[in-house]
Amino acid sequence: MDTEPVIPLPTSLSQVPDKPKKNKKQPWKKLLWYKQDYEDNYTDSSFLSQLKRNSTVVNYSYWKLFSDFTLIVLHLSVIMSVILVFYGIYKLNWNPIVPTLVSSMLTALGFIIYVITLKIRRNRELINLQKLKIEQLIRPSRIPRFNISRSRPTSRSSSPFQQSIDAITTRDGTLDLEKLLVEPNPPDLFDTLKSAILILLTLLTFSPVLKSLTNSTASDSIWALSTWLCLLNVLFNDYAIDFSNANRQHTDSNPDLQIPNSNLSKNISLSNAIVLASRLNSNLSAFCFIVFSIEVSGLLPVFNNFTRHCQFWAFHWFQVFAITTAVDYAIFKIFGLGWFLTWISIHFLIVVVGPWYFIVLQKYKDELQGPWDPAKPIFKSI
Amino acid sequence: MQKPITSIFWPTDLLKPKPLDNLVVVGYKVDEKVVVIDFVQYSKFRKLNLKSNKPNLCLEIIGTVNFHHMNYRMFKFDTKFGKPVMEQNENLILFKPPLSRKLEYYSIKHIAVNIFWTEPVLDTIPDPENTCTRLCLHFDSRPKLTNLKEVIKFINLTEYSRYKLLHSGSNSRPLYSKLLGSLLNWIGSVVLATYQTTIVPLCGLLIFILNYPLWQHSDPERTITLSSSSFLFHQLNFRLKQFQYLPCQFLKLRNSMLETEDLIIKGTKFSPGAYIKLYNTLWLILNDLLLGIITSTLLSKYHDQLHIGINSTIIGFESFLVNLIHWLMNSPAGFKLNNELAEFFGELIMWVLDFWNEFVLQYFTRNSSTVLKLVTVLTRFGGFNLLIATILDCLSIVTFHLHCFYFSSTRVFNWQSHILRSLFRLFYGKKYNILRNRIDSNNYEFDQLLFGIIIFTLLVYLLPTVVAFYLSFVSGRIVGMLITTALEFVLVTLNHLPIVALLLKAKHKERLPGGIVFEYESNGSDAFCFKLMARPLSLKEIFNSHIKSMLNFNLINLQESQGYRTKLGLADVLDQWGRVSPIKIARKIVLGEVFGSFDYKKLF
Repeated sequence: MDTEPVIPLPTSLSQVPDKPKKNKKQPWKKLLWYKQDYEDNYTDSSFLSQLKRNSTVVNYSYWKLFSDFTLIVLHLSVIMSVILVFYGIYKLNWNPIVPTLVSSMLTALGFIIYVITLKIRRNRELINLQKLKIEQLIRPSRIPRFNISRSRPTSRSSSPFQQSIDAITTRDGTLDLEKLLVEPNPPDLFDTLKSAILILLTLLTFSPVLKSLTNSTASDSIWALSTWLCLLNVLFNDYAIDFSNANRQHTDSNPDLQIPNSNLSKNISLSNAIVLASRLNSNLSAFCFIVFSIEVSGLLPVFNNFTRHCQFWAFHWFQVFAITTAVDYAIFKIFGLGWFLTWISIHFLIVVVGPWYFIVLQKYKDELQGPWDPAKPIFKSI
Repeated sequence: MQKPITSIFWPTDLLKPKPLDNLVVVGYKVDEKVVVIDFVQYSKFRKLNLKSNKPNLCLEIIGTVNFHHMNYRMFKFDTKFGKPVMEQNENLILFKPPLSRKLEYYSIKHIAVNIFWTEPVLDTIPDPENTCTRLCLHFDSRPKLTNLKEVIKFINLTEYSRYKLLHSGSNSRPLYSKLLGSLLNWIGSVVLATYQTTIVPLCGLLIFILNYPLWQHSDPERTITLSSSSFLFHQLNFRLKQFQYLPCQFLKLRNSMLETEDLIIKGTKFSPGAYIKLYNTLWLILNDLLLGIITSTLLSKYHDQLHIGINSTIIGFESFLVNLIHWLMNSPAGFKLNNELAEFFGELIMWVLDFWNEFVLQYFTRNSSTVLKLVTVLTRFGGFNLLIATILDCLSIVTFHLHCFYFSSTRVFNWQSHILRSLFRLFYGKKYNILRNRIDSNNYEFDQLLFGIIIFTLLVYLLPTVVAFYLSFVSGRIVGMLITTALEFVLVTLNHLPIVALLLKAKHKERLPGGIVFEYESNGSDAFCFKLMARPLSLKEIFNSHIKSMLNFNLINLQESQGYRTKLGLADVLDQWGRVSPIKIARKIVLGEVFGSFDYKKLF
């Protein structure tokens, strides 16, 4: 009789060679608390059966990557436009009101578009929901009522239809379609106006302080500081490439799952603007420059994200094209051909070479996921 | 058969008896140990009464010398050293009989040095060796010690027993010494009675006046009395309390002198504590007065120079302050501060300085001669400590504006650092959650962000200016605190030094028993013996004991100043003393909190 512990061969996956024996061993189980008749360092052949490779890897297409990488170029151009305007006011004695006026008008236009679009989308969704409800009321037998639950419709439901059905079946009679809407409400006009005026007035009162803030500091250290802030701004920006399933918007109903959007790059660009504005020599130019940079580097990305979220792709591409060309042209006019070519080549590197290199690197991706990894919780909503 | 080992304690003055006399050895027996007290002539022996009126204090006959007796053993002495010859199972331990007249005695535990009039409060100082002492409880070592305690008690009683032996036969005390003793006693009582009826109530009244709350507040810590607001009055208060407690201490000393023997017989710990207490107080007062007379003579001799010196120092200090502020306003040490803010701060401070100069310092310098004369008189009659207390008071008056500058700049710095910390959290999208006491991420609105960042950037750029002003006033505060603390330490030393204990240590070590030592003594031959010696208190032990009693005194005073409202422990006292630790001060400087020295007027 062979009583030695049998070392299982790693060839077979989950089948332990079972021999008809008197003291036959229990099959090994992956349970720590369970007293088993195996060595402590015993490794069963079924251990690697759960191994997964490259489970999260997505195969990107070149054009998708190209369109994503243009966002970096857009962000660079936005930062560059702020620097250009500063250079113009500081060195070339531009009238500071002109860029601010232009940007303010564009911002107002963008705001109007934003509000109107949001209204339209919301109303359209409301109409859809009402249609659905009417349909259900007419033919209640068509939709099976097995899905009765007391829980509120949560964010991770597969489709708005399912949600609405749940809501209708749980609430008896009275139903609140407003709560089911996924699209955000357009901002209140009065509140927006109030906070805008507040900020403008604060900036106006602070502008003498801002102007004299770094009077005793050398210009070189300010330029160095500004450069670092710009670099950090590029690094920490939240490029917001995907809006899959519109998660970002309608997780408002469930604050636990809310993904905090990073405002770090906006903060950095604003402090960069304040640092630069403190070099300007009049209160008015400091104020105008800060307003311009708030509009360009604070509000424009919000608007751009909104256009992509609504899938106005043509409008998005128009924005990208317009801004980059304008900045390129301005660089050519102000700094000359050399800087222009450098700037263009940076664009080329990012937009063309970057995606290509990314795809080349992707074949080296080898991600293992096995039973040793911490388990990922699966959120399942009813 | 093995006989049990016995030890015989033999006084050193009973060695080498005269070979012709027939002597009886008399002593005490404690279990296996024998304490020899005295020789008695065999001829006189019959008349003596060995029984004492105390039941557990019976002398016994240990043996005989130079003659044989059928019941008792005979001691023989070796010729060389005159020590008694012992048997195999006996240890000879020699001891020098302690002179109770001179307050000498043996003690197993070291005595406590306490020079304060307060009684010890039952609060233990956190003991670092707690586990060690707890471990010692597992090993039984007490029975031996109690035995030894008894023996030590009898050894301490040597002189008393001899005296009793001598006078038990005949009551032959001379009459004149009795009379003298009672006369002295009577005079002492009369002086004590007059002191108690006149000076003690006067002291009580003055103490009441000094501690009368001038400005009542519901929080007893903020109630202002004369003694809590000025060092001078506090010193007076302290002196008066000393005078008030003198008769009490004197009575205690007298009682302990009278009842020494009784106390020893009862086995309670007699300590020269009362003696040290009274004479320490007297000595310190005397010392202080003598020093005061010397310094007042010096003060009156160099009055003019001092007067001019003080005035020029004050004026020089003021001009130094003005120069410092000017320096701070114009890029100090090459640091580029914010000009506008520096100018604002600087002008504010200059304005206060001008005001102070006009209304306080000029007044002070004009009258400094009078003040100096007053101080001289005070010092001559009140002692050196009053001079130091007056200097401390004057310092706190003259540097009051510095204190105000320090306080306000600390507040500004504290606010600014607090705002910067919370806005930095806004900078990276976090917010302090006060309910859960942690930092949570937060989705700020766009306008909130804008406001926050504008203020953050402003404050970051203004921070160096504020820090420059803050640090210069902090350094001023540190210098002032060093001077004040040094003077306060001088006051503590002169008021509460256990000088009598130190003098006793130098002069007569036996009066400060800190335990006993057995020393092995070999004399060449096979007979050997031990010698019982008293170990005097070491300097470290004296100071440890003194500091312990001082902390206790501090605790009582602190409780009194807080009106016994909150339960205070020794930890609070240690916290007060710990305020001068450099690490704590550095921490408070960085955090922008107000730091200060220990509160002398509350602790003492």
